[in-house]
Amino acid sequence: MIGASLPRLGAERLTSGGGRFVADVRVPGMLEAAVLRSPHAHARLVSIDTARARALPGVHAVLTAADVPETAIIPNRVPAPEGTARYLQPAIVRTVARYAGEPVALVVADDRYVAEDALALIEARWEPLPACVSVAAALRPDAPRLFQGTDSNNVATIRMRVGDTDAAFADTPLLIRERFQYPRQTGAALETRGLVAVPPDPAGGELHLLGSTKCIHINRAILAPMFGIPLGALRLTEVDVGGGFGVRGELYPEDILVPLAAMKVGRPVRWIEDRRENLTATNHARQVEHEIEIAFEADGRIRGIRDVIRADIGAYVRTAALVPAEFGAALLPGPYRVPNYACDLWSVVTNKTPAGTLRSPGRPEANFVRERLMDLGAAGLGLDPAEIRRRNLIRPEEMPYDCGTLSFGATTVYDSGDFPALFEELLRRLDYDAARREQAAVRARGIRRGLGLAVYVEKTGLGPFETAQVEARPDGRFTVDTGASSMGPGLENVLAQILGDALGIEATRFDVRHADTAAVESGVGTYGSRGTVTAGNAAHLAAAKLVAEARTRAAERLGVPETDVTYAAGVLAAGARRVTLAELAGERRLAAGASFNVSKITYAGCAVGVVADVDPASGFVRLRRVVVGADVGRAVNPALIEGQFTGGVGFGIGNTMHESLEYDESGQLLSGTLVDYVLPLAEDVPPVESFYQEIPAHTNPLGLRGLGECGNPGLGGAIANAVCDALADLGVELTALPITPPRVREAIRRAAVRTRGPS
Amino acid sequence: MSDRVAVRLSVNGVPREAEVPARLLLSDFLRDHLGLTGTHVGCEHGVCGACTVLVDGASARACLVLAAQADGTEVTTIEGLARDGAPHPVQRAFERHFALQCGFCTPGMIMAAVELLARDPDPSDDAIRTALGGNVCRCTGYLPIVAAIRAAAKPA
Amino acid sequence: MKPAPFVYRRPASVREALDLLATTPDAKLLAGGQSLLPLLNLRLATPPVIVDMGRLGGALDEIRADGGELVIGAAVRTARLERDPLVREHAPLLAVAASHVGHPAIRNRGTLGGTVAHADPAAELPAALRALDAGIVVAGLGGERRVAADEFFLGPLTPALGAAEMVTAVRVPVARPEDRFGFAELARRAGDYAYAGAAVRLALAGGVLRGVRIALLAAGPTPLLARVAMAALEGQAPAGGRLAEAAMLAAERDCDPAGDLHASSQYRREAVGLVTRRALDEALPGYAAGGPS
Repeated sequence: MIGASLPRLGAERLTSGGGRFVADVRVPGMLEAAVLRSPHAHARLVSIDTARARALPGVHAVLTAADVPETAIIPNRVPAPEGTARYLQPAIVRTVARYAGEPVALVVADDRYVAEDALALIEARWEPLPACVSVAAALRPDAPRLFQGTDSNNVATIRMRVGDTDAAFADTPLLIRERFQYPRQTGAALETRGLVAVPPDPAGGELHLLGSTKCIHINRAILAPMFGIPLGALRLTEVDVGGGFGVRGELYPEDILVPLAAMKVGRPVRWIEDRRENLTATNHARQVEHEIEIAFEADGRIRGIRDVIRADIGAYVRTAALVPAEFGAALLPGPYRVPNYACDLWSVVTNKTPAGTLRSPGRPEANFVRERLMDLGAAGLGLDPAEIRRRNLIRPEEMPYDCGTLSFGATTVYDSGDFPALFEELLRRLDYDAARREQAAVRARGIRRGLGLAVYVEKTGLGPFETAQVEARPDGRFTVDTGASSMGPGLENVLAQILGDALGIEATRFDVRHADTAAVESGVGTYGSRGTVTAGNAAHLAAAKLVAEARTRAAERLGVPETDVTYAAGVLAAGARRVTLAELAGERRLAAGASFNVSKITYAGCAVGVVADVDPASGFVRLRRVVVGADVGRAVNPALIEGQFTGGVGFGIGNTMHESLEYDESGQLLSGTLVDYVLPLAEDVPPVESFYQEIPAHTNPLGLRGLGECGNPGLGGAIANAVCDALADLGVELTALPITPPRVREAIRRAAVRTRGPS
Repeated sequence: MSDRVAVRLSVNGVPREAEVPARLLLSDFLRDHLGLTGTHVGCEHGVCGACTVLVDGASARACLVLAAQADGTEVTTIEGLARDGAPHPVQRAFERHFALQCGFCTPGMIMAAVELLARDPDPSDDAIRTALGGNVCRCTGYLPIVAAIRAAAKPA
Repeated sequence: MKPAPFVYRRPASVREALDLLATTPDAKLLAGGQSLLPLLNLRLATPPVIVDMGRLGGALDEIRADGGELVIGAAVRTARLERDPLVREHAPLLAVAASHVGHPAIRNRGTLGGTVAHADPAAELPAALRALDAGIVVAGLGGERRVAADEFFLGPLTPALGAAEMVTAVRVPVARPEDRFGFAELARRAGDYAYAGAAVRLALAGGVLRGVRIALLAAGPTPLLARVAMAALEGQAPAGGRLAEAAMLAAERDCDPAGDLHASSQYRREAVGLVTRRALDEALPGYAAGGPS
C-alpha cells in the first residue's frame, strides 16, 4: 500500500462541484462582512465617522478600533530577538496605518454588495506621513521611523558565523562579488482567504470558526484569550482548502475582527476576501537583497561565502515574518561543503504589506543566489557547471553533516542522503553531455540554447509534533483525524495508505477528515513540508496502538491470552476463532491516537535541470524541458509525488518568470490585480520529468522526507543559469528575478555596454 | 437606486425565474440564489477562470456577466455535466489523471475543456494549452490537466 | 469586488437606446461586458445607469457583404469574427486579429462594437480596423454617420462618440485578390496584453507595394498608423532590406510608447520593430524582411 499510486481519494467530489470551500458554507441568518482598508501607506488616523455607513439600509454593524480589545495583536509565533514585540501588528488601525491595505473598519451587512456600499460611506480623516517603500529608504539615517520608541527600522540583525571567512578570503584564487535581488511575491492561491464565524448561542455553546486552516490548534490558543473565552469554547473547523502555499492559515487581522463582529451582532458572519484584498492583505514574501561574495580554490572548491542579506518584511512582524530569511540564510550553503561562512541578516520594516512564509520560505532566494555564484565560479575557473558542483557536493560518507548554521536555535544537520548520486541521476536524465553537444549544434543554426542546473537542500518535517487518531467503525470503515490540515496535495491518500499498510486494509476504507479542534484535542498543522512526515508517522503509531487495544479486547472476548491473538487485515484470530475490528467497534468505541514528536528536522537533497532557448532580439525565454528530483526517504504514493514535483515546477516557473509585487513611490501596490501580478499558465510549463531517491531518513520511524517544497525552489537558479548560459558569449548576467523579456533585453544591453567598455 | 430585474433562464436544464438586483453577478446568482456552489469565484476580474460556465453552450466567465444579461439563456454549470448519474468523460479523466490537487480551479477548468472538446474533438497539446490560457491552476503545474483533456478526447 | 448600484435598462431597439442615452446623463452602454464588468466589479466605473445592448437585435448581429464592403454589426462577438466564413473570406485580417483577443471565454462574450467603443490602444480589433481603413458606423438621434477608423480613436479609452451616440456597425473594404495581410503580436503568453502588435494590409501588384497600411497597437495613446514606415514601402518593390528598414522606421519614427509596470518605453519600441517585421513577413511570405534571398 505504501508505494502504490492509488488515485486521489475524494476526487469525484471536487470534479462534480461538490467541494465545500469556505465561501460555500451556508449558515442560517448569516451576514456578510467587508473590510475598510487604509488608502495610505503611512498615515495617522485623525478621526473616523461611521454614522452614514451604519444608517445605510441592510447594514448591521460597523466595527472600528473602539470595538476591538487592545490585546488583539498578531503575535510572532517563532523565537525572536529581543525588542521584536515593538514591531507587532494590532488587528485594526488605532492611530497609525503603516501599509496601504491595513484594516481600519469592518462592515457587517445583509450581503457583500451592501457591505461594500457602506465602506464608501465611512468617513476617515487621515494625516499622511512620509513612507518608506524600500529597504534602502527605510535604512537611510534620516528615514522616518515606522514605530515610535524604536531607534531603527531594522528589527534585528542576526549573525551567522562558521569557520574563519577572513582567512578563507585572503589570497583566494577566485573571488566573486555580486548583488542579487529577489522580488516580492505571494501565494495567490486560486481560492482567496475567508472565514465564517458563528457566535455562541445565548443559551451557551461555542464560538465556531469555519474556514480556518494550516495550524488551527495554534490559532485557537492565540484567539481564545483575545476573545476572553476558554479554549473549549472556541472551535476551529477546516473545510476544503483552495491551496495554502504558506500564506493561508497564518493568523491575520480578519481572523480576529470577523469573530468579534459575529459576537457583536449575535449572528453568523461570513467574510470572503476578494482578489484585490488578497494581493494587499495576505502575506507577501521573499523580497530580499544579497550583497554576497564567494571565494573559490583554483580547483573549484568553495573556500567561503560572505553575505549580507536585507529582507524587506513589510510594515509589521507578523506570525512568521522572520522565518523565511533566517531559514534561507541557514541553508544558503545548501548541498555544498562551505567551510567558512559569514552572514549578517537584516529584517527591515517598510510601508508595505507585511511578509511571511511562502512555499519553501527563504530557499528559492538563497538557491538563486548560490546557484548563480556556482555558475559564475565555473566560468571564472574554466570548469563545466556540472563539474564545479561535483567537486563541492557533500558526500554520503560525510553524513550526518553539520552546516554549522543555526536557525531559531536549531542546528542545520543533514541526517543522511546521497547528494552526488542524486546529482548524477539528474545529469543522466538530462543526458547532460548529449545536451551540451546539441547546444553547440543548434547554436550553429542560430538557436541560443542554455542549460541550467541547481542543487539544493529542502527543510522538511518541521516540528514540534503532530497527532493522528484512528477509529474503527462497526460498518468496517475507519475515521481518521489529525491536527495536520489538508490543502490539496493529497494528505488523505498519504494517511490512508500509511494506515492501510499498517493495518492490512485497503486505503479506500479510511475516511480522513479535515482538521477540527473538536475532533482532536491537540495538533499543530501543515507547513514546512511536514504533513506526510509528522502526521504520517503519527498515523503509523496510532495504527499500532489500535491493534494493541483490539488485541486486548479480542483476547477478553475470545477468552484466550493476548499472546495467542494474531492480527491480520482487520481480523483478530486465535486458532479458528476470530473477531473483526468492526465487530469490536460494535461493542464499544474502538479508537487510538498517537503523537509523533519531531526531535530533528528532516532534510532532503534536491536537484533540477533546465533546458531553455532564448531569443536575444525579443528577450523571450522558451523553456524546453525540466528535470527535477529529490530524496523522498520512502515513497508513499509515486503518482502524488510526481504531482507535487510538477506542481512545484509550475510554481517555481511563476516565481522565476512572472511574479513580482511592485509598489510606486508613495507605497501603493501597482500589482493589485491578476492582470498585473502575473501567474503562470499552461503555456508556461514545458515537459517535466521527475524522479526520486529513497534513502530512508533517520529522523522518523517510517524514514519519510517531506516533498511539498522540493519542486519549486530550484527553478530561479536553474532558469537564470540556463538563460545566462544561452547568452554567455554576450556576457549577460542576471542578478534579479523575474526573468521577463524586458529584463533579458535590459541585461543584454548592459552587457553590451560593459564589454564595449567606457567609450 | 438598487434596481431589480426579472430573469428567466434555464440552469442545467431546470427553468429558473427570479427577481434579482440589477447589479448581481451571474456567479453570485448561481452560488447564492440557486445554491450551485460548484462555480467558484477566484478573481472577479476575468483572469483566473474559476467561475467559467457555459452560456448557450459557449464558455463565459460568470463574474463578467450580470445575472440580468443571462435572462433567456441556457446556463450549464459543473453540477449539470453528469448524464444519468454518470460523470462527463472530462470529469472522469480529471480524476484518473491526478488533474487536481486543491480542486478549486477544477470546475472552471472542466467547463473550459468541455467547450474545447465540443469544438475540436481531437485537439493537439498546444491547442489544449492555448485553450486553457484563461484558466489558472496554482497547484498542478497544468501537465496532468492537459493529459486528462487529451485522454478525454480519445477515450481508451 | 461587487458593482455599485445602478439602474439597468435593456432597450429593444437602437432608437430606444439612443433615447435613453439622450435623456440619461452618464448612462453607460453595456455590450459584451468583458471590459466594463471588471471596471464595475472594481468600482473603477460607477455609472448610475447601465444600458444593455444585448437585445438591440437585428442588424447589430448581422454580417453581410454590401457592395465593396463587409458590414459587421456591432453586437457580433469576437469568437464569431474568428470563424465566420464571410469574415474569413472578405476580411481575413479581422479574423486573425480576433483570434488574438484574450481567451476563449472572453472572445465568446466580447463584441466588435464594444471593443471599438472602448478604444483601448492595446486592443487588437481597433488596430486591425485602422489597417483596413474601415469605417465605423455611429448612430445618433439625428441618424447614422460614418467615421473613418483613422478619425475615430482620439485617445486612450476616448472614441469619437457623442454622449447620445453608439457604434452600430463596422464597414470593412472587401479584400481584393492582390491584397495581402499580416498580423503579429509580442505577448508573454497567448491572450496576455501584448508588449506591441502590428496589423498590416497592402497590395502587391505589378511587383510593387500599393496602399500600404501598418497599424500598431500598444504603441501609443491610440491604435497608430506607422506613416513613415508606410511611406517607405509605398510604390516600392518588396525586395531587399526594405521591409526590415520599414520595421525599424515604425519603431523609431512612428511611435512613442509609454513605459509601464510590464515594460519600459524602450522595450515596447523594440517590440514594435519586431512585430512590424513579423507582420510584414506574414503579409509577404517569401520576401524575408532581413534582406534579399
